[in-house]
Amino acid sequence: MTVRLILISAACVACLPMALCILLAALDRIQKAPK
Amino acid sequence: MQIETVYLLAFFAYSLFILSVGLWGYRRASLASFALAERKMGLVVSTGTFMATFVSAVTVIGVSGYASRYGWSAAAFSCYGYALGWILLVLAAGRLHRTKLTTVPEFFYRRYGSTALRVFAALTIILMYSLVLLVQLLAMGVTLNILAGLNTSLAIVIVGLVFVTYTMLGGLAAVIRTDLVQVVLLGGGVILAACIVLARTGGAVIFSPPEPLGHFFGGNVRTTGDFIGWMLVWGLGIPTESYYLHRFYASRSANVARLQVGIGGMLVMVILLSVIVCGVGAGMLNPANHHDNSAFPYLFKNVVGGWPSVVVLFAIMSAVQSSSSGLLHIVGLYFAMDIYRQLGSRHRNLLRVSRVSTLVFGVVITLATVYVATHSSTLISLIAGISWGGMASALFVPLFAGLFWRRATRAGALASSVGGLMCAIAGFSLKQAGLISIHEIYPGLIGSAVLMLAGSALARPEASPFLEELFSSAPANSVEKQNDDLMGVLL
Repeated sequence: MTVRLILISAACVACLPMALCILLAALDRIQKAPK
Repeated sequence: MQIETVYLLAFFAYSLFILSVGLWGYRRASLASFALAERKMGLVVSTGTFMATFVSAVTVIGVSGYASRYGWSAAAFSCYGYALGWILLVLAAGRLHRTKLTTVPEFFYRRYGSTALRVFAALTIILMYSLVLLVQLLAMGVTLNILAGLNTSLAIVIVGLVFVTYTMLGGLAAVIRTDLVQVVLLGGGVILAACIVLARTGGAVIFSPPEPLGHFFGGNVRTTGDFIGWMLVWGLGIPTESYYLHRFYASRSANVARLQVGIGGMLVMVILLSVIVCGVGAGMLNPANHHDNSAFPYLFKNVVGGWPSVVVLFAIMSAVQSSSSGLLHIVGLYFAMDIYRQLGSRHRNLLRVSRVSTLVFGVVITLATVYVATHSSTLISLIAGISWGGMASALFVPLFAGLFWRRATRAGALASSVGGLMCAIAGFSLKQAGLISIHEIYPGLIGSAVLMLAGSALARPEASPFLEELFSSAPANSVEKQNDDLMGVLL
């Protein structure tokens, strides 16, 4: 059980940087959009 | 043919191949190519080089060795801290890319107007990287000794000769191309190894590991405080590592700079978990005297045996060579650009100076490794942790405050950098003397942060065009706007 929780939590935290990439790209796009 | 002969042949074939890629880089030489691969790194190449640079002997040998002794608590020791480090790298990537600078210490110079800070940062990076490079070479020497029966010192010299040569000849252009090959070998090799271990243990390595190996807490992570401490060591040390930050300058766009970490991080986590599977498997299958840095190579040579052990050898060699070349490239280049260039004439051939300093550092570190190999033995991951903690204490606060806090000043940055490192050294010394039990990164980072705040309170930052551009809300130029759309980069 412990090992399975470790694997799941590690997979989740590994996705956070990618999620942040998408968020920052979206913010860049909003900033560049004509006002 | 004996298996040791196969290993030796594989080792020499691999070394010749990598050298040939380095020679190719030499024919295209220019300072822009040597230093930054002409700032043209696309997504595939940048992700490959990020991954190859990240996965080193610390991961493959160190974490597996740790896992063979302490089981799945290796995940508590590494996974979460690595992810925190990647998150912070993504945060820094876009801004750093858009500065269009050449080195990380140069950022400190342009942001804070301080040559002293530039030189101090460069010296810190060069010293810490030399330590880490020594550790990488040591790992390679141990592995070749175990697998091929090669004398450890001889193995270190041969490995050193290879990566010093191709790094010196081709610079970053050669490093990133060899990294692309090496990441396939190391990733494929480690994942294959994990599948073999899963099969060999009947899945027990994941579903029912033996009692001492199946806990989250263990080894150096016995309490929540330890967990947070090691998370900070990796999490705040990784985003200060110049060999990742430098690749942001070399990327084609800000999105490529970020995505190499976003995508690379996910794939590295797969590799890391595979390494832990191999390490726990070694803990279950190896004899007790091989629950250390030799665990992974010993498992595949003596327990599993056969052709998979050759694949594992390629994986380990790739991990070590790719990280070592990344380290050495930074050491040689930063010495030339941030120390040598600051001392004298600006009209010297910086490409030649970069090459010479790469060669000199490479040779000295290789010889130092030979000496250390015959005199001491410590868990590789712990040695790396000491240098990571030192780097974090010296550079994390000045770097991130410089990128995100407009109010940060030169006085704050200088005090923070020097003072943070001093606090970390003091903390380490006190811990060695048994007077405190907390990780030295706590005093290092706290000291660094307090000194940044205090130093910055003394005066306002000097206005400069660089400061205005760094904190402007619409940073991208028109050319990069066309290339920088996220979907365009991904597809």
